[in-house]
Amino acid sequence: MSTVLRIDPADPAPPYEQLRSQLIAQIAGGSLPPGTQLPPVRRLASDLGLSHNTVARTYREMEAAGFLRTLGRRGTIVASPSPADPGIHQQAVELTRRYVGAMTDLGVDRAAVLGYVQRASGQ
Amino acid sequence: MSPAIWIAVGVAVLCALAPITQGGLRRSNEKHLQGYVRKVRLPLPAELRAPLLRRIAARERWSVLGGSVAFTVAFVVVLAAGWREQTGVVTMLALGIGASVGGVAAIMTGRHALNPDAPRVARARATSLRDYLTPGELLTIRLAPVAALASVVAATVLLAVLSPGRTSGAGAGPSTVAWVAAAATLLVWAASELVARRVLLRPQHAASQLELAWDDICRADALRGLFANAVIMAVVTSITALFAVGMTVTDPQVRHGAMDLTLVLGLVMLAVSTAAILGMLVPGFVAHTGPYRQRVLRRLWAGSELTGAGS
Repeated sequence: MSTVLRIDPADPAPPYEQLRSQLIAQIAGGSLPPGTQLPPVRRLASDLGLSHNTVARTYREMEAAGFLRTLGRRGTIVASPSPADPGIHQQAVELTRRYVGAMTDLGVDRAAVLGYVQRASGQ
Repeated sequence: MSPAIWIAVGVAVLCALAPITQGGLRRSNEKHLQGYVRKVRLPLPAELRAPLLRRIAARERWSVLGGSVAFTVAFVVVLAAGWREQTGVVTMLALGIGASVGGVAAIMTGRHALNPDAPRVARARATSLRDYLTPGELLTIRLAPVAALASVVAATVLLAVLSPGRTSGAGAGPSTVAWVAAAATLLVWAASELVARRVLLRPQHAASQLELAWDDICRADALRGLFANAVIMAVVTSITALFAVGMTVTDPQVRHGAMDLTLVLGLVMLAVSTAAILGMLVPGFVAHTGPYRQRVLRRLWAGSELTGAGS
């Protein structure tokens, strides 16, 4: 399971979108499980040759969408999907798995599945 | 040994610090480069040779520079202070510290310009020392200050068992040296921990996953070299503590009328020093009998094509 991010200047999608979609795909795919600490904003921006604001905006928006949590000095971590009720969590995982499976059977790739989910949830 | 011999030894050690690129002064030594690549067990395609050699040359250049400066300063200090007996220990320790600080400086000051049109890759998760060093190596590093302090405290307690009147100052000098060595060990260890954390925050510029993996390898090597200082200092401190007690209990004036006591104290200190040194070194030594260089690949590249089936 890869945890490598790749920003391609030749890609028509802007760097912000490339970064966001890859992070979401890795969280959804389990390569970045809940609790995983992400690199500091400055470090990731420098690694990828992006502006500090681009990475900060990505983190901020992903935090607002519930993918990430900021813990002050401990940095930014991947958020747990639903800590409240283990039963509901299990059902949510099963429903999502069935949904992703059905979409994959239709021939829709994983990135597009995420796009549909984001669009449907108004993000 | 004559100071001139230590200069020759220092020059030989400095040359050995830069086996692949001679600090970037000459063309790369193919034999040494291939040996390094074999040990790391990562592919090195033609397009990655130049970026990797740039990293290695920077590390070797800074290591030689750091080692040379530290060796020269230590040599001058030793001569000025009249510590001719300690020339070897002091200059070699300084050279080792200077070289590994230089190796880390190569990462801290490294600037790899990104091609604005080329893809860039980065890791999506933060890294820690556990990703770069094996548990055995980390245990040895964490035990270094403990071993140094345990030896010096044991030496102080054992010397206190002999009444001050009996020792009449014998061993006071070496005992002070042992405490200074322990303080230096703690300082070097704490500084290494701080610098290592700074290294982990430094950016890694890479155009491909393989280049990033090679950068991880270079980073792990630099961290390993950095922490080696604290471990070597702890060994020296333990030996100095043993020496302090040994000097005292073998003094004829001290031994007079206390043959059994001095013998027991000497043996106890020998046991404590040996236990401290072995207890500290064995975990790291055991780790180094295995594929310790692959630790970073197993931790950060598990499941990728770089490590086969995620071994």
